[in-house]
This record gives sequence, C-alpha cells and structure tokens, in this order.
Amino acid sequence: MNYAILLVETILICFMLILFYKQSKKNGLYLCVAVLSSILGITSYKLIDISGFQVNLGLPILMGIFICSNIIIQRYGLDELKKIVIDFLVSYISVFLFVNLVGVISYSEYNLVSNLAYDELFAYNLVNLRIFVSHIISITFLLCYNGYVYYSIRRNKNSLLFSNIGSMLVIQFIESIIFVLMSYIFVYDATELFGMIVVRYLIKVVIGLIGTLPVYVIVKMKDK
Amino acid sequence: MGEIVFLLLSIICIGLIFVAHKYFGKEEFYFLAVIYAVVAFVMSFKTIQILGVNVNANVIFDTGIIFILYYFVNRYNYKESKKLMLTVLICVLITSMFLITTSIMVPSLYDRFSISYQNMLLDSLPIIIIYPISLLITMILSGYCFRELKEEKSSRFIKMLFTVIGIAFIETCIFVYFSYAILIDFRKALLIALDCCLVKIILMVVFVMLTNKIFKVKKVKQ
Repeated sequence: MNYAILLVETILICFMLILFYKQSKKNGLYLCVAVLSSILGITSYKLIDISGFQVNLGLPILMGIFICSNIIIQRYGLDELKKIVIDFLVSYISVFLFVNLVGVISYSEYNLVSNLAYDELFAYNLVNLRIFVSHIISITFLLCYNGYVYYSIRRNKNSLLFSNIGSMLVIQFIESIIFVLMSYIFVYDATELFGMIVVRYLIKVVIGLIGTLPVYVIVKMKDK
Repeated sequence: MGEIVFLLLSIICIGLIFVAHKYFGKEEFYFLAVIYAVVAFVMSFKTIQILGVNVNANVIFDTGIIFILYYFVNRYNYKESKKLMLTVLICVLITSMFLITTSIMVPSLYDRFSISYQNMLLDSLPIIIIYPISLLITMILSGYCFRELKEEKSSRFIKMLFTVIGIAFIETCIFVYFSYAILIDFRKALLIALDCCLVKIILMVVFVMLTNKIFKVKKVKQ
C-alpha cells in the first residue's frame, strides 16, 4: 500500500513539474519549489514503516524540490541558486508559522474532532519543531551544495543523466544523514538510526531516478 | 490571545500584499498567492472562536487570495488574472491530494501523528471537496466583478463595497454552509455561516480600503 502511494506521489510530482514549466517556464519552476516547500511543511511529520525501519513522509516532495533546482541550474546557470534557496526558505517557514499560529487560537465547539487534530498536529508541537528545524538546515545547506556538485559534474561531463544521478547519489546520502541524526538522535538507538538513514536514502534514490524523466522532458521541451 | 493572533495574521496578510506591491513584481505576487492558497486550505480544517463568534480559520488568507486577484485585475490584464486563478486552483488541488495520501498511508508503530492526520482530513472530507469548488466559483465571480468595476466611473467605491459584501456572502454560503451542514447539521451550519459571513465582510471592507491605498503607493520595482 505505502509503496504504491509513494509511486503515485512521485508520478504526481513529475506531472506537476511539467505542468508548471509549461505554464510559466522559469517562474513556473520557482512556483513549483514554493508549492512543494509549503506542502512539505505540513505533511512531513508522519512516520511510515518501510522494510522494518521508520521513514518520514514527504520524500517525493523533497526530491521534487531538488529536481526542480537541478532543472533551473541546468537551464539558467548557477546564479539562480540563491533565489532557489530563498524561495524554499520563505515558503517553508512562512507556511509553518502561519499554520502554527492558528493552532494557538482557541477552537470552536463545532467540528471538535478536526479542531483537536489540527492542534495536535500544528500547535507548536516540539517533535514537529525538531523535524522543521532539521529540514531547514539539511535542505538549505544541501540545495547550495547540490548546485555546486551538479554544476561541476556538468562542466566535466556534459551529460544530463550523469550530472543528475551523480549529484543525487552524493547529496541525498548527506541529506539523509543530517536529517535523521538531527531529528531522531536520542530518540532511537544507533541500529534504528542507521536503518532509517539507509532506507530513506534508498527511497530517495529510486524517486530521483524516476525524477530524471521530467528533467529530460523539460530540457528537451525548451530545446524545441 | 486568540483575538490578538487573528489581528496579527490579518495585518501580516495585507502587509505582505503591500510589501509585494512596493518592492517586488508580478512573480512575487504569484508566489504570495501560492503560499496563501496552501495556508488557506490547511486552515480550513479548523474552526476558531473570536470574540464569541465561530469562524472558519481560513477566512483571512482566503480574503488575501481574493485581494491578490483584485490587484491583478487592476494592475495587469485579464489573461494574467486567469493564470493566477488557475495557479491557485492547481495549488489547492495538489495540496489536497498530498494531504489525502499522507492520511491514508499505513503508519509505523511508533507514529504519533497518523491519527491526527486522519481525524483532521477524513472527518472533514466535505471541506476537501467543497473548498476548491467554492474557491473556483468565488474567484471567477470576483474576477468578473472586479473587471466590470474597473470600467466604472461613478461612485466606484460604494459599488466596490457592495460587490465584496456579495462575494463574501456567496463564498460563505457555498463553502461554510454546505461543508458544516454535511459535517454537523443544517441549523448549526447556518449559525456558523452567518458568523463567518460577518467576519469576512468586515475583513473584506477593511482590505478594500487598504488595497485602494496600496495602489497609490509608488512602486520601487516596476
């Protein structure tokens, strides 16, 4: 069930990238980063079981941000990197803040189940806060690093497939380590943490491989 | 406390439109609209109490979206406004899809949030379905009304006030009344819809006055 939904989410992200690019070209890709960052801020707190280890949700969304960043760097150069990072930070932080601010307003007696669930999820829960900070640090740092790695691979070997997969294999491994350690150290033991890093990395690699398809399509679309 | 946060969010909502107008361009308005769309959709699952009045929490940012549309109709052409409507609608649909997939995934044994996601979304399923529909209808209606008002010369402000009151009424009728009627019951839904309509009208009138003032502020970026 979970594998199927992850696949559906990945396909949805691929279509979304193509749709936004077709609608507004470069600005569409920036909008796509903003939408994905906003959604990441509200969906990444749930844990699911994959191969006996726990994984946070939102991996296709996270990979979507990196794929978008790769497409922008591929088409428009490394100068866009700063704008991509600002785009991510502003949308991720503002959505989290707004949604959590409403969590502190007292709820109405109507529709109580939904109100309580909202407060449980978003009213500045400490576990959420830790995941939120981990995402900010890991994604911001690695979006910058990803840009340089992608660009240097592209300069040495001018192959779209090579630079995408190469940068993804390196960057996503570091991202998995930083995120899992920051979010779950002192919560789970070393074996569990190691498993979480490996499983998270493997899922992201698979999503990244599927994600090279929209990169290829969008780059070719531009060439036409 | 709740009232202060509500006021703060309203100030932030209109304040960001002002900042985007003064210092940034069209792209940043799209960016703002996308953030408002996601925030408004997520907030629609909570009903808050402000000064004893029960309102849906999305009322502020929903109004924000309408006023970004108002800005677009007045500043840019109609084609651009249509593009904005489409972008906002796509964002809401994508967010709803991801929230649904998040809530139906089989959780891990140690997960604490799965039940909250399920309670928030699956218990409020009518909101997921009705909100995008009401937003689409409201945006189309608002776009048409704002475009017609743009051509008006006499007593434009009064007509504008009546228009936003009408839009607020229609939006609350479609979204709040029908959603809560399915969720709770028709009589209570009517009470919530009336409360919501009142707050929305106040917000919209304030936003109209402030947005008209914003138009007079000189832009830094053309």
